[in-house]
Amino acid sequence: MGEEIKTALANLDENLVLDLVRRKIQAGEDPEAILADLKTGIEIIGQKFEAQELYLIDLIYSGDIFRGAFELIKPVLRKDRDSTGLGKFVLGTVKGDVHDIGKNIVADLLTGAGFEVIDLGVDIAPEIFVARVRETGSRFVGLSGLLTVAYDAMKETIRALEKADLREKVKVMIGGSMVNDEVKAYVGADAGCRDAVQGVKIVKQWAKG
Amino acid sequence: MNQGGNEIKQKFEERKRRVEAAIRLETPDRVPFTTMVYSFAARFAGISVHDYIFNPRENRRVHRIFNQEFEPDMNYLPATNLHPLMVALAQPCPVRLPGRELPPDESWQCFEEPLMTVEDYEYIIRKGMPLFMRRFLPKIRPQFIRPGISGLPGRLKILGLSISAITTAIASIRDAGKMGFPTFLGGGFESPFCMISLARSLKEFSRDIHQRPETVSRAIQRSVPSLVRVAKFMSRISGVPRVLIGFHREAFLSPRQFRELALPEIREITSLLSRAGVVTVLHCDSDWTPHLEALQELPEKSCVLEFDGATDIFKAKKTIGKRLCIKGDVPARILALGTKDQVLDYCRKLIEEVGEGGGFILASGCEIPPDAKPENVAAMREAVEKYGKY
Repeated sequence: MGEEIKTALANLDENLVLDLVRRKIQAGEDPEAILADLKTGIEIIGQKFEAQELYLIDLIYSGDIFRGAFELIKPVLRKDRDSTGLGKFVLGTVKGDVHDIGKNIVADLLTGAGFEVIDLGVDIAPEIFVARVRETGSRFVGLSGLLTVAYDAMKETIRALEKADLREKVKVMIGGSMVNDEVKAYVGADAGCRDAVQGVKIVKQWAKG
Repeated sequence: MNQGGNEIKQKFEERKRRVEAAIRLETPDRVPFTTMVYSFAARFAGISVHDYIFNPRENRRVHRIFNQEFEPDMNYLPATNLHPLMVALAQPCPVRLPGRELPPDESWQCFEEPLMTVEDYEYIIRKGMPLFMRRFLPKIRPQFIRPGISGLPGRLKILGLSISAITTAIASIRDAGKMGFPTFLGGGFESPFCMISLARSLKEFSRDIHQRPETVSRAIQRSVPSLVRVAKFMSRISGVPRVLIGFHREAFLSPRQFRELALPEIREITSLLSRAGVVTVLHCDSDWTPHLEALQELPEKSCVLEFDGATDIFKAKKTIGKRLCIKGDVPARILALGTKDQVLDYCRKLIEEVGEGGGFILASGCEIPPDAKPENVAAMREAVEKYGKY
């Protein structure tokens, strides 16, 4: 059955995924095991995306399927479980920018990978990032943006983290389709990614290392 | 005509010949330069984006200043930013506007919500896109078309706004002409694919593409003829034989989905317009590299492909450069953060590789970002003089 869920997810068969998850919950299967299967499915999707077997539109859809399945599992997960898994991740599109396609995919894939994602939304001011990092104790921050004005906002956000003495405690990833090494250096981030799959890969390494 | 007038007329003809030769894949005297520019021009002229959109007179002034300073080969009619109605119609999803929901100097931005339903696909297939839009607009633009206003008063309001938008566009084209600049675009809007995806929201649309691709395809196909009619109308009244159509999200598809859902749409639009003597300026945002081979099927010389820096433009030259004119693609990143020398270097590479043998127009990738350095914008113009002579 585990095989089926991850295959169904990797094949983007939404109805089958949801149906299998419901049946497994009804049969009293361990929700953690169901979640693990879904995560494997998401991993396969990431590999297929890198191999250019799946494309952006598939990635968006797979994130949505995963989210739907996760909602079904949530009520039966143990309340006292260690929900953070690989850790907390504060994510948002920076001030002055409202593009959220990339950010939402990252949120879905990170959740799939085992992070607890704190998605702040779009057009987020530096002080809000700072407040949420402090409050959650997150070790990872993701700043998303597509416009060039976002680069300055990313830089300001990182500076605000420095001023709040939090910079040393967090790793900052920036993401957007125009991000490259030059932009990464300009804003002072630890890593940059041009697509969600690449970004999630780097963050997973951070969490493990 | 006095001597100054003759000189301007000569410049006008020279620039027009240059750009049109590139579109016909011929080799002009040098690589032409004309670029999408909106909020950068407003900032450069010292006015807010709000005034730029909501005050048509200011809008025209902004473009006069830009053309005078940066001397592009053609005036880039700011199709969707020219008039509040255009902004309202351009993106069929909720938007936030500068000076209203946003600070006066920010660009307007889209907020997608699944306002279009699955049933609406059937409505579009039955009644067509114009009737759907008439029903849909009050939902997303209560500030322009109040839901209460229907029937005659509603139509009169739209008619009044349309006349005002057309008058502004024509005045703007005339302004540029008087200064010796032909205009690149006679109008512009989004492809049916993008319109539906914005109205439906990307998330729901991605589900539709996987669960009901045939319905999506039929709704797109049904929308093409009315769009072509509008494009021809725009071209006729503006006197400009080029119309921009924004194709963005088509790029998100797999090559197989692209051939099934997007290519028929693009092929039909470009063929129908080409037969009417109108060149489609295919504004290709995002990464089109996986779809370049499919674009070989478009009619020869029927369009200009505007790349935004995400597509491998050098590969595009090799794949389709013998059939279609390529325009682009100095990345926004370099214009905003880079140095003048970096811009010159990148332009030189573009001119040498993509400009080889003609069929190329130098431009920024998508619009010049509002925070671009003016000397970097000027460097694009400098590059065509310096390296672009054939």
